[in-house]
Amino acid sequence: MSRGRAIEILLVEDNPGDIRLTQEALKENKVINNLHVVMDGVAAMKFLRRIDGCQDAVRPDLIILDLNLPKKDGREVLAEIKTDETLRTIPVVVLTTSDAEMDIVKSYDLHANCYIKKPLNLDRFIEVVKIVENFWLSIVELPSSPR
Amino acid sequence: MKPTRSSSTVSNRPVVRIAVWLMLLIPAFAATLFPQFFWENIRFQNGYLHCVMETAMAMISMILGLVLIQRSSIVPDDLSLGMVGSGFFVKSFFALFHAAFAGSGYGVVYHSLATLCGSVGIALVWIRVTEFRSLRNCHRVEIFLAVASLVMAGIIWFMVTPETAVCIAVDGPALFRGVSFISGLLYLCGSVWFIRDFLSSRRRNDVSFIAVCLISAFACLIFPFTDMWSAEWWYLSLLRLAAFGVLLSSVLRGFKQMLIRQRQVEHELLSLVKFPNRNPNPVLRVSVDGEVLYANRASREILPYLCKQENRVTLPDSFGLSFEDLLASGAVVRKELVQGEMAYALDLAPIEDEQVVNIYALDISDKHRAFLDLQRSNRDLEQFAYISSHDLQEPLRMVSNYVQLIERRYKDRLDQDANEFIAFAVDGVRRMSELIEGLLQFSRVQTQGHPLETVDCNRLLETVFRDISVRIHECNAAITVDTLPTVRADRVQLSRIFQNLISNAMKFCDHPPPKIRVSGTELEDHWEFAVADNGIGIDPEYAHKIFGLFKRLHGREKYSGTGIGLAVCKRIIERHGGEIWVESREGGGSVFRFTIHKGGHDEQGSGN
Repeated sequence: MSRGRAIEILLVEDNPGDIRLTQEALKENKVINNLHVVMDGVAAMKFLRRIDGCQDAVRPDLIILDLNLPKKDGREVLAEIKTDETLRTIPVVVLTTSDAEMDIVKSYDLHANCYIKKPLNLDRFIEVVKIVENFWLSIVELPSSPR
Repeated sequence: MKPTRSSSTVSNRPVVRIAVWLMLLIPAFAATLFPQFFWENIRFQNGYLHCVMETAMAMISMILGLVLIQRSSIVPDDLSLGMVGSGFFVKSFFALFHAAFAGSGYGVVYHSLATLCGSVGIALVWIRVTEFRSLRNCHRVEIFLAVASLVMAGIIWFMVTPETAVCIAVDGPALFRGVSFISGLLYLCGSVWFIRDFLSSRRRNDVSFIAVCLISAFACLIFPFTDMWSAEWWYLSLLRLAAFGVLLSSVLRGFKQMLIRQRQVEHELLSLVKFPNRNPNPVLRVSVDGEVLYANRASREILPYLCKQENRVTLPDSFGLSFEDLLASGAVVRKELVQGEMAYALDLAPIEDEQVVNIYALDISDKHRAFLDLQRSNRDLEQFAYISSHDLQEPLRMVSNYVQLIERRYKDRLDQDANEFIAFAVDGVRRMSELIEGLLQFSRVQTQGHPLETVDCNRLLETVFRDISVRIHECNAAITVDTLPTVRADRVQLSRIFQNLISNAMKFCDHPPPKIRVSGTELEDHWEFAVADNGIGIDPEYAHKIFGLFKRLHGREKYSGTGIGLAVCKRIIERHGGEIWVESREGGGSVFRFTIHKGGHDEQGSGN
């Protein structure tokens, strides 16, 4: 699948350390991407709905979502995205520290596209980010135009 | 109960009684034996006094008879009361006629009839009239006796004309003497019955009746030998009075006893009524439509929760039943009434024949609070486990990732030492993470266990082998499994025990290939499993230590691991009501044995 533009990724993550890591991991990847970062659930929804100062926001091709967020947590954000007709086609990758069974079950119940535990090992982390990006943005066929 | 009480009153103040009897009887006997000293020359002359006396005695007799009959209906096991009462009642009729016609021929006839009827009534106690019982219960005996008496009086009225009456009075003394004598014999018969009855049952009444019978018999028997219509009637009337006195005292004593018993019963009833009221637990009695018929003092605190309307109990919807259902089923049902921190166990006991439901409540608020505390603490523990898994891991990950990022980015600029330090830091973080993970697993044995189910251990082991097949293949382990039982257990946790023990057996092996044997035997209350290996074994001195949390017997360089596996196994087995231990010697292989309770014993109660 070839897109004639940079890939837009929305990272919803409150931990600056993880944001930086993700940025570093994406830097090593060959795919040209624009990473947009929001640090809480409310900001994520504003970005996606292009309201309250986010009128210029682009529609992301992929959302990387942490579950534990301030204000509105990742589960609520996930639920809102997946019940919104215009947003639900965007793949959502849940990337979080928790491997609690209830978090995994809950995320898939809310139609997360995949659930990944953040690896402890840096090499693994970088590999995971690469795989996610490649899988969702190069391998998988997604609807081309936003509805 | 009753005979003992009666016999105890027999001996009540005996001296007084004997004195009264002697004072009555000695003059009476003296008068009989030596009449000439008492009333030799007094002839029958005072007709009015005679009439008054006879009327009074007839009245007394009638009242006594009726009282006895009434008493007999409330003392159903004493038939003799009814018979004696009937005798006196009938006798009183004729005695009245006798009084009315005193001095004429009729009077004499009625006198004889009265004597005869009284004695017949008493002698009838010999007849075991069980069918009288049912008759008596509806007062037909009295009606029958009254009608019979009236009919007999009528017959005599028509048959005995004034002429014949005069003839009888003049010519018939022999007949009256005979009737009187027969009556005396009948009274004696009656007395024999009462003596027999007294000997067998020790009834206090019998003594009175014996006295009445003997006095009456005595009077009747001596009558024929007296100058009948002379002054001895005084004396005979005296005897009859004595007999009535005895009977009266007997009747009065009966009433007294009845009153005493009634007071006792009232007292008992009263204390019975107070009994539930003094119960510190609520006791209620409600009708089928929920109306409160009784509520003890303690139920005040529970009534507001049960009553939506004033004085009417409405069972909570959560009970899923109504008073009608309860009464229809007839079985006692236990329900719990919970209102915030307050909790009561209610036993709802339907009483079908009264169409009421008794409610016995027990305050279990303490238990309920403990239960809530447990729930809270379980929730806290789950929360803690979640925090451990997420919030503690996150900073660790930061340390690990960024140390590694330094290594990655600046590898060329760092010397050998720096790289080594980085390796130590990363390894420390990894181990810390493993420890957290281990603790988490340890805590989840309780909080995230599944309910116990029936598990075929042979199948279970197949899945265990599939999970660790890579490792089995790597170390070329030879594992034999005997036929294993089917048990009640948490499938996931049981497979974890086997996986842990088999992995350990493969890990702690100096001379590959590892040989492992899994077997199971049946004990009385438990199943016992054994996992035997040919590994390095354990010094018995440390054998008990290996099940402790984070306990390790070997250096990390030689055998990896956190020391949490066996602690988790032990905790799982404890949840299953069993034990785990090891039989081993250093260098001689080990046998890990564990038991689990057959009945599906779940120490944590439920699987949540």
